[in-house]
Amino acid sequence: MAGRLWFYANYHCNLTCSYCLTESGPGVPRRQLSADLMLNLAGQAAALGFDSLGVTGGEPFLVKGLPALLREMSLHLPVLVLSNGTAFSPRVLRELAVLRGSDVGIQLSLDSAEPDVNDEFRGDGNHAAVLAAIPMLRELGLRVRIATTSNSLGPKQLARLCELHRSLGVPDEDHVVRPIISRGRAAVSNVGVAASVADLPPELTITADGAFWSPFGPTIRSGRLDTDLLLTRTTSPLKVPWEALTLVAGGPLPAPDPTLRIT
Amino acid sequence: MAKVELVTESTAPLLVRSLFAAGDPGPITAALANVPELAASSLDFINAVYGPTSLPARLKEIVVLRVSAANRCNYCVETHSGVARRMGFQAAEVSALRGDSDLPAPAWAERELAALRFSDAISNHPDTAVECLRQLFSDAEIVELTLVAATTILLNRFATALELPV
Repeated sequence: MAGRLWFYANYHCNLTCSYCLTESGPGVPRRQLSADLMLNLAGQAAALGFDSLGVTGGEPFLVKGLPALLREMSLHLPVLVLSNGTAFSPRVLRELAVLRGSDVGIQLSLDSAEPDVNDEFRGDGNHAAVLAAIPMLRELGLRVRIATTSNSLGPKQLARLCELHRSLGVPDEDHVVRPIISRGRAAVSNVGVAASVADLPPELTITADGAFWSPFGPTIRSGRLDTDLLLTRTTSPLKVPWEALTLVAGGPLPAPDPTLRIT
Repeated sequence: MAKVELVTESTAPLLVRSLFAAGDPGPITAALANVPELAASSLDFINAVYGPTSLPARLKEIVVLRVSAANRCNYCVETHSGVARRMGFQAAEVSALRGDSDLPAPAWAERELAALRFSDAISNHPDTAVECLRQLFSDAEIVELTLVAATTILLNRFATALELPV
């Protein structure tokens, strides 16, 4: 089982979250993958036995024409796209209509039920924007998931957050809580938990800079790409990084471990 | 200062991490590690050509150092001057191979002198090079010496273009 193939569609973002792995923000180099490559690799992934696709960034919905690309990719394998939930302009919402009936889910980041706690990490107005986006996306027939990134979420705070997402129609099975990983901006700020290759489940991840061990791998720190979890510079044919990953893994991939996954 | 980043133990990609386990592997490996899927196979090839084979190591080192000098690769000339000395070459021999001084032909064994002339020829007029070896070497030996010289030229260009530090 090859699991999910990840794509970093881009590295730029309209937000500058304090723990961002990729130091994403409005002015950073875009490191954008071409639509042709993503679609081609989606087809190769299906042939190699991957079971799903993931698209992250940066903020993927800043990439022009992304909804139509997601639709085409989902013809090969189910797609989950990660978003900060604040880039759904009227134009993007219109474009998202093409996803109705497709096997594409959207995972939005929401770190707390309390706006001030959430927005401290993710920027002013983020909480309200995400809460406004969820019903709009659900109206389009899209499956919405919530991802919470935190190292300090207590039981009461988690309960309030779960109450909130349930009230928005997002069930518990579509809510994931994951720790802040100490890479990228989080490492510079000295927050988060350290994670080595032994801690991170292998999930082949394609970027403009090459293929990585995990979506936690292609991080940016002080403007420089981390290469410690780089597998190969070659991304197509996909067989090249896939064989490198299985070589490093030492054989068949282990069973999924939910503790350090991006979803 | 090299023209590209030289990978270190802390930045080494997964496929090449083992190359850094015993310490600094040198600038050629550190540069190749930027492209991990090519690094291991490139190094395997280089090590196979430069490593122990049926040809005497001394004869191969004459070719490596002389070709490097003829191709004006500072990195390769300096590193292989040290290699040659550690192999037992005399200082005058190393100096001559570097082109820094002359050594009378009788100072070299007959096959060594042919390899030296071959090294100069393959660097300047490669179509004439094999004639330097024809009378004293078998076809297999000619192929191998040509491979040693060609690999050295590859590394000369690699090290010079990237300005690898000595």
